[in-house]
Amino acid sequence: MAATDPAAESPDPKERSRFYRWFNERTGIRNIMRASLDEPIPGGARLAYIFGSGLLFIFISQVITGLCLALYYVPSVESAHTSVAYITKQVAAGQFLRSLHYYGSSAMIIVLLLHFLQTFIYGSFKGRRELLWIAGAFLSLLVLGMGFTGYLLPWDQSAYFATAVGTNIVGEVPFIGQWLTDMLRGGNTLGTLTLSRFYFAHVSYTRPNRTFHRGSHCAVPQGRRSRTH
Amino acid sequence: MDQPGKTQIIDPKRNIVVSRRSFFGALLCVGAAGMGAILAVPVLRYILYPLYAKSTKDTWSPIGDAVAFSNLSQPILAPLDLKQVDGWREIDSSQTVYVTKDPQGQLGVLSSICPHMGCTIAWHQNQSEFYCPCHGSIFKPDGTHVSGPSPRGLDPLPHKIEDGKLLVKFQYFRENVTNQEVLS
Repeated sequence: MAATDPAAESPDPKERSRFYRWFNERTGIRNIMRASLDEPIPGGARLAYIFGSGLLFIFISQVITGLCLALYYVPSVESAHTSVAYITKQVAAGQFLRSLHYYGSSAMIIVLLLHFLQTFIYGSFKGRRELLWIAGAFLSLLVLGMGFTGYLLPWDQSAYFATAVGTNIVGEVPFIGQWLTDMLRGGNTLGTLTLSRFYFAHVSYTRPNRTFHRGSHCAVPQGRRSRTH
Repeated sequence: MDQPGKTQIIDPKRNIVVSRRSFFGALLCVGAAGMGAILAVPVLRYILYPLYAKSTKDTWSPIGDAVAFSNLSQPILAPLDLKQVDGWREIDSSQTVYVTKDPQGQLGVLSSICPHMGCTIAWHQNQSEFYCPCHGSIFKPDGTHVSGPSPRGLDPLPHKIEDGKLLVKFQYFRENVTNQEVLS
């Protein structure tokens, strides 16, 4: 059987495994892997190109640690701070996972800025990539939104007053400012309704972020690059 | 796209070509899998934490003055206040235990929870036996199993006398197993 099988002569050792062939016939994994890992980069690979993938990996880490935190966290005025303290002081590895999520959110903003700078300085937004830049700008707003909403969730002093200031700034918008502030806070004052609103926003931003990222930021450049270069 | 690099190591026996590219690819896969496995450890510990966390505080609860039980002729049901841990909440709950006295005059404390399905055991004074109202298990005054579906006798609880007070460490036990198995 092995002598007549064309895959048996393939130079790639993976192609020779029967499981890999079975799996590939059903999923097309070979093409997916080639498109994502073996994509040719004009001018060769550079360290300056790592920020996009870096962001993606930090984002995946944020999603995993965020799911973990949501397992114990309760978004209410009575329980928010206590459940966060419970996570950090009682639950096994809770301190580690919460720290990953906490510092990861800062890393997200820093790497996002570096990604922006790299794209800007190298002029990578040119060459019919304007929409890609705009999509990136929209994504960065979502990232900032997740940072802002997530900051309130521990319900400690800095969280409370940072959100008080943040929602007051929104109030400076002409004409609809007060209405926007009340909408964000879920009423006139900062309280348990603010907390559940922010929690909802913090958790549900993840979906559009992921979908939009995959559609506009991964798939589009793949199509673009093959034509522009 | 998949052209082999300049260096090639060929294993002539198995006809395997290892290019620089496929070597780094394999290194990446193994490294990523290793890091993923290491990071999965805290995540799993975190998720499974409630399975191993204690739900009762390791404290001794007072039942009453030891002297009050000194002339006990038959087991007596005694109420008990205890603190239970529910996640980050601490709840005050109450339980009942049976205080017994053996012929040598030693006090004993038995859980009033039936080891079969968890019903509350009743003391039948006339028959001088413990009786479970749910499935009819019968136990001797010292807790040993006489008849009925219960797989073991009534569960004795750790107790001590301190400053003239009878103290008990209340515990829950797994139901419907032959051996006494403490639940956290």
